[in-house]
Amino acid sequence: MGGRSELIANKAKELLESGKAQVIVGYGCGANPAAAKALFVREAGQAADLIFDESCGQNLTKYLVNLEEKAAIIVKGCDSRSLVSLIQDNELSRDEIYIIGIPCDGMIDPQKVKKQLGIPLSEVTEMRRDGEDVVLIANGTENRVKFAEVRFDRCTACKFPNPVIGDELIGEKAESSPVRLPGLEDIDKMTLSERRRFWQDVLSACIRCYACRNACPVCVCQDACIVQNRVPHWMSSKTDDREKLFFQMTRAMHVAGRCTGCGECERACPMNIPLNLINQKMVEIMEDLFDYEPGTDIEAPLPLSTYRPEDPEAK
Amino acid sequence: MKIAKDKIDQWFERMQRGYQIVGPVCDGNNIEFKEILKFAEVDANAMATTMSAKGCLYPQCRKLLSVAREGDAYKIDTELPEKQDILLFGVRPCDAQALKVLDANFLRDDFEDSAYKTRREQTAIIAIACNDPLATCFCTSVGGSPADSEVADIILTDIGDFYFAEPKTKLGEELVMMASDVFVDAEDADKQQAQHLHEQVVAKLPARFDYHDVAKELEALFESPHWKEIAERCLSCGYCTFTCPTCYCFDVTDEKHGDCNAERLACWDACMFYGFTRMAGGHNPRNEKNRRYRQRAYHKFRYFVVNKGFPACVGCGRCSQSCPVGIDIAKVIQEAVEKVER
Repeated sequence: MGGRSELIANKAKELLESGKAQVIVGYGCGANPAAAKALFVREAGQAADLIFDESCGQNLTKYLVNLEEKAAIIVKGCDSRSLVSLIQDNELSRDEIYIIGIPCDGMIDPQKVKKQLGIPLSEVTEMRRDGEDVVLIANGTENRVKFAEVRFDRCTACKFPNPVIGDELIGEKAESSPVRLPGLEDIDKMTLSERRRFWQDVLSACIRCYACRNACPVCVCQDACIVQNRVPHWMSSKTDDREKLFFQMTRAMHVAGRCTGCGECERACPMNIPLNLINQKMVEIMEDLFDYEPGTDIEAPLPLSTYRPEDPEAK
Repeated sequence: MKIAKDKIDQWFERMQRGYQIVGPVCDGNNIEFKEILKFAEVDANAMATTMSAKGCLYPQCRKLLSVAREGDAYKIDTELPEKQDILLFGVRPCDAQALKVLDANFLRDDFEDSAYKTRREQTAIIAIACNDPLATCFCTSVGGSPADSEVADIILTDIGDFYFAEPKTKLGEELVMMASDVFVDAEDADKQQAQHLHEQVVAKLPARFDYHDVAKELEALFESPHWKEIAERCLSCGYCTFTCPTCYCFDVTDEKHGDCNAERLACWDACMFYGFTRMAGGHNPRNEKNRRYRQRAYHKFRYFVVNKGFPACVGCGRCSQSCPVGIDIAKVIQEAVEKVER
């Protein structure tokens, strides 16, 4: 799947030179090759720094919300659905963004690499995809792992490997054979009180750093977030398990309907809490209750802020 | 002196009579500082644990005072934490060194934080020297060493089946004496091995910059577009701050419980958060990400050096290890300084 970096770089150069975009929001080489960083390219000469490979896990769409310049953005299938949610929310205007879509078959999860290799990602000096494998060189040693084993869980469950919205597509269309997000089956089997205990336990690792909230494309309250509110003082700043559960459940409820399960919250979480399990379950509930798949149709009214006579609670 | 790894539990047992031992424990996904009863629980090879040991001395959320209504009067309680002697076992020299920064903030000439002081006075530190640095380590650039710390009571060096032990303080000597029948004399070969390991690890970590020079050069870079470039991808989350062993800012907040009770809490805050400098009235001097990131860099690498003589950073690299957008503060400083030199 090489060559995509060059195609993107050329496209970026073209858009900048023609004035169609003033900034390209894409990916560049990160501190280590298994985790690309967000790159904001404003000069045509810098376009060659743009890359696209299996290290591009971050969802860049949130950056568009505060950008004042005319932007072009690189989006994967999952990212494109966040764009749809943002457009539905009027946080972004469709005609002000140039969307470059890229199909993919998954991205590397740095935490899985760390678990497989037993060392932190910072020690990886080279990464390359080789068919079904990924080769990672760390401390001079070559390690070969199965790509399917180091992809994010959300990639295993991906139903939209191709962007659902865009001005153009770079690369070949992809197909996926999604399974249900690993972990959800186990939770479904739990009783309600087992689930509560499970989540209270898992969420006790939370440090209220708000990386999940800040990384989330559809958490758009920014500085008016409920956690900062003092009048009324909805949320305690205390760090006991009960308060952490309250924060996380509140956030899950607030994004429900707009959250597409992009997994950015989980990717950003420094404590490796499987947050996407909560959000993906909410996505399933949206489908059950409202026959609604988040992030697929920019014209669709948002289910939790739209009244329909057919709604389950309407009767 | 040296102690066999399979005999450390005997030492622990003696120390546990007076201390709660806290060390790095692998908890499935993360390595965190938790109470340990046996040496086997310690992840002794842990480098850049997810969270630092800071929380043991300076908890994330502290109650400063509580107010309760009693009839017509209000009773105010200022509670100090229970005296709890903590022994930090298995911290890296950088983490031990971090206490120098926390002490500089909480134990000043003009004011001493009594809660911090109560905990700090009774804290013992047994550090384990590093054998291999990570790509994100840079302790040697900020006046530290991977093999030594002036703050530790004992430095242990892993020499295979044994730890070579160097007591650095009177308390360190006392701790070793607690298990004088378990420790054995180190042979010359052991001392040489430890020495060699120290030299080797220091050689693997050439200083990336001179922090004195950086502190001076930063003065001219205040308006540099470099900060905007770096901060553009920052999420303004608090991760770097919360995981940092030297960050010490906190927010004071009052919480009411019903009509008759209230508490004043001091909770970790982060200068990376949008509202950090927001004032009553709404003005916010650091409302932009680049100003906040610049502040982080300047506080750690310029202001603290100018005011206290050393950086407010120990080069542990935690912030760089897992920043969700891959910002590496050592590289940020290196690049900034290169711009000056160009």
